[in-house]
Amino acid sequence: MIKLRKSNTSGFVTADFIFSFLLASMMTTLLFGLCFAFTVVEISQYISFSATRAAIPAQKTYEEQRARVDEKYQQLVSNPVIAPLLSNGWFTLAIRDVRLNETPTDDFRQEYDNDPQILLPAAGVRLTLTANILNFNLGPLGRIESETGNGFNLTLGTLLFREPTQQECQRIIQSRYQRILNLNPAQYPILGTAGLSGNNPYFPMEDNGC
Amino acid sequence: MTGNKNRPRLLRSQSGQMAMEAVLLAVVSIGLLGATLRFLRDDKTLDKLTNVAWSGVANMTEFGKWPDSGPGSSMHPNNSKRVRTLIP
Repeated sequence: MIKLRKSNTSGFVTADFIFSFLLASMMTTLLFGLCFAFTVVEISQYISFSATRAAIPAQKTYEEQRARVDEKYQQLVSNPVIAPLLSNGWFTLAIRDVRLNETPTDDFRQEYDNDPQILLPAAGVRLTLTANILNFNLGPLGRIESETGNGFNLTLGTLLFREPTQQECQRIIQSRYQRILNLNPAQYPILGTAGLSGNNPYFPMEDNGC
Repeated sequence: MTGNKNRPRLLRSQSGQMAMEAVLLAVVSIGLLGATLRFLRDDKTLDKLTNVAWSGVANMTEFGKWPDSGPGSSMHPNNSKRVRTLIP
């Protein structure tokens, strides 16, 4: 019996196993969080692109183009596959801004164009993603904190060239037509300016495809 | 005389050696674990691992470039020189 007790080494590595398991669990948790976060970044990038792509085709007005962004965004974030990811508190996704060249400064040149010689009025949608899942407290290994101190945030941007709306197109064609008439008002009395001031539903105009 | 007889027997006894070694090994293991945890915590190794990966991806999603390409917005593709050509 004494001999058995002396040679019994079972349980000797239990302590080692517990420590290793502790370290491995913490590392696995962290890597799991990172993998999940990067997957959601990819999904959010697609949502950003898709919302922008929905906005850029020609509509009747700016408002309708803008409405397409919200419509597409809501459609994707409420998708039964994606919705649980974004509603369980692990991640927060929101529209940061939508700029569709409605005014001369309604684009992203101020943020992203450093060379004033380059004029690139790209339109698009930017989203903000916050990965709350990465705010770990790994016990003995300490707490994971972002460099900025206000959480793991990032901006996802998609910039594309927008098609003009019907409203814009007609305004440009009307202005162009007015300038043609102004070339020689005496020579175009029949064409006149009827309709250009809005007093006639019909007015002569070239076929512009608006 | 009895004491002299017992002394060599005590020295020859191997009982308890395993227990002693187990205690020593446990102390070493716990010490190593403590040192490793302290190093990882003080050096913020996991913090760096997470932040480096996250800031890289954040730079890519907003500016389209990895951080080592240059600072933020100056590397955005909007700043790329464009060439116009008439030959398709």
